[in-house]
Amino acid sequence: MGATVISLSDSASTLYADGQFESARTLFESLAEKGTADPALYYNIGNCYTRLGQFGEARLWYERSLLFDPSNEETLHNLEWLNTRLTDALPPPNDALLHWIGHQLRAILTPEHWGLVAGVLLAGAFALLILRKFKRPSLTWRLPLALSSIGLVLLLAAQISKPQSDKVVVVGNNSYGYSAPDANGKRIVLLSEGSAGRLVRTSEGWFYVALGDGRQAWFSSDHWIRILPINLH
Amino acid sequence: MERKIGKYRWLWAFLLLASGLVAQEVQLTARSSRTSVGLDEPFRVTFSSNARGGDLNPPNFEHFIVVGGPYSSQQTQIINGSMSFSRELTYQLVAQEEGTFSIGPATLEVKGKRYESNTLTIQVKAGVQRERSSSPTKSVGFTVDILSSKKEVYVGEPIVLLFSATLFEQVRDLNMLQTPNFENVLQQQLDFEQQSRRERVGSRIATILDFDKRLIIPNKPGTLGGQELKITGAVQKPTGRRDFFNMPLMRWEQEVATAKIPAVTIKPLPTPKPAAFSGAVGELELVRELSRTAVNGDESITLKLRIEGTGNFNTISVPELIPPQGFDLYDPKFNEKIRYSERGVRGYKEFEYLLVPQFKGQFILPEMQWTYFNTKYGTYETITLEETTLNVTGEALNEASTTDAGSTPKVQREVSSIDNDIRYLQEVDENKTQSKRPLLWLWVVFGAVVLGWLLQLVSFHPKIKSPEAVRAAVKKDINAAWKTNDPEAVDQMLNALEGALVQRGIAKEHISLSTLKEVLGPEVGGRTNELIERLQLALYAPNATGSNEEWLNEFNALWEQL
Repeated sequence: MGATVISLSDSASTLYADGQFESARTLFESLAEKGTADPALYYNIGNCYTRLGQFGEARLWYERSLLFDPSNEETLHNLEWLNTRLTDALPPPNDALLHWIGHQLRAILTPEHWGLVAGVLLAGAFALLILRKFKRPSLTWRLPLALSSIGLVLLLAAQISKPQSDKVVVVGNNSYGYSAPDANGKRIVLLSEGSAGRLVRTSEGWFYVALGDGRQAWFSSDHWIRILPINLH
Repeated sequence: MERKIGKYRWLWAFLLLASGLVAQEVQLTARSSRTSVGLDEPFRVTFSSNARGGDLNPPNFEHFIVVGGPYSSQQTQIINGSMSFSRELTYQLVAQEEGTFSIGPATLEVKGKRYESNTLTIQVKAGVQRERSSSPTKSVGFTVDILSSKKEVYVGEPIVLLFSATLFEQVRDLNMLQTPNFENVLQQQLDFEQQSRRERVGSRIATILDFDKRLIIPNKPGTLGGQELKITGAVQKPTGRRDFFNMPLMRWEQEVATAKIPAVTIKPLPTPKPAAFSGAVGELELVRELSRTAVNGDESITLKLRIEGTGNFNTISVPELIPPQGFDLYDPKFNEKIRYSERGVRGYKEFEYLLVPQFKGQFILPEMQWTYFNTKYGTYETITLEETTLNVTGEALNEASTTDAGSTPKVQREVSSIDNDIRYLQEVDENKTQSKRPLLWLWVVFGAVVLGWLLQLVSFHPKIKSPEAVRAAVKKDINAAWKTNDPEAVDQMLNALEGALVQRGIAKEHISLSTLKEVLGPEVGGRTNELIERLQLALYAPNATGSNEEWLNEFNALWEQL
């Protein structure tokens, strides 16, 4: 009779099912802290925050999940639902072109899979080149060239499809936007929890964020969290 | 004959006069009523000509201002039967500055011919300048004053200048000759109705006429003052004579009056300026008015954001409203009412917003801060409009409620009814970790491919071997050929020997027993000669060959010695 090993995620799921969302969130986040990098984990943490009514954090984790698994229907559904509750929040501006291309590529294959295909093709090209050089000089160069070219393109696709994001999300209370990185400066905007933007640059304790409506302002970094890198707070 | 002359004597006289006039040369002269004048003292310059026609052009009266004229007159005289004609053009001038100045010649063009007058020299002295502003003498018909609303202001603080004339006599045609020219100020002429009143000035009753009002907003610190206002007018003065009815005869005399702006000190704003300083200076208030703070879903809220008080309204702009959450905000309506007075610029500027609720619940109208410079206290002041909570009710709107979470209120989300709204948890792969360099191996493979392509460009050339190695290789090849009964083996062996002898200095055609013995020694030379002969024989007569093994052994033995 063997002992049953209950994983942390199972425990967290049980707590979640019992309505202990705070405890479930703590367990899920401890997994993330240990280095588990599964979009499903990020999704689950997002669910916990949703249940706790902390929609800013929920949005952050759903966005993180989608960054690694852009076509996950459950995540897309929950985020869409969340957006219906965050109607007073400002949506982020469009992604930069390279990030958008990466997002589209990730929707087809994961970066690892792009890399795997690229690796197979490149390895084949290498083998053919060695064969041609040392054993079969009469072997045509067209085949290794084609394999090398396609492999290179797929390698670039793998590189671009690596999750990258400059998005930031308001997770705290309302966040005031200032004209300068100074709390005594002129306030120009107030954003509510769950609002998102693109991080343009940072200054000590301040984020300069581009908003979806075209405005840009300085915000205290205490109220914002970057989607990447995934740092727990 | 006498009768004929008598009959036409008038005609003769006319012809004689006419011919005399025609013969008379055109003259153009200039004269001045005075050659030495004081500042602001009017004098006359008259240009006279005896020509009936032509265009008389006055000179450019540089350094002088034309305060009257041109007055033109013509005169025809017949004295002792001699007729003369003259016409005059008179200007009334005042000097603008001290010194000695020339008035250039006037020009006259008659029938294509150009005539010039003489040049006048006028000396302008300050000592003759009349007293201004106060204690007017009896001869002064009017004076002018500039009243400043403030003697000391900060940069950006408005000053109102009132131009006022004191009329002691009947004055007509009052005109501004020169207006003050300010630098680094924003100047605006104010609309106002000219007002006059009777007042006692010294021992005389005078009419005070306020004829101009200007708003000055200095942009830089310094002193405002020294600039002159100069006005002119025709003053009615008695001639000292009386008419038939014993009434005093009067005449109109042109006069000029000058006033300098009293010095106003413009102080710089204190430093450091707050980061949020808006540039507004004065005694101001920022006011936010809400038509209501609790609203039903189908109602709206009118919000007025207003700056009011006294200050530099020309450059003040109302701060933008930080929009509250949960409301649609329409483009604001702008209202403005500004009055200018000696006390400065008073009024308000206002934005009127319409807020339409989109959600049910409590929403925050954000705190606003606005910083201006208070001229009353000489300090920067920050006006803070506190956060206000707006309550929105209405069945048609989505729910949201507000609680006080710490210092800043936060919208508390409704989460009790989301069981069926969001999807359940997903299964987590706890072993899935993210590599720090996930694609490093792929770049390594790519590097190998690049290397493979580089290899294609490199061709392998055999290394240049040492003579010993070459000899060993030849021996090895011959042994291999000999043992496999290669038909070329004999030829290879013969070629190898001949090649070796060439290296020893014996050409192929010189190979003979004596040469070989001489070079290689008697024994080796003899054996070599014998082997070569056998090989040559075997080459041409293969059946006559002896033991293959024996030849190979002999070759191997000799090869080491060659």
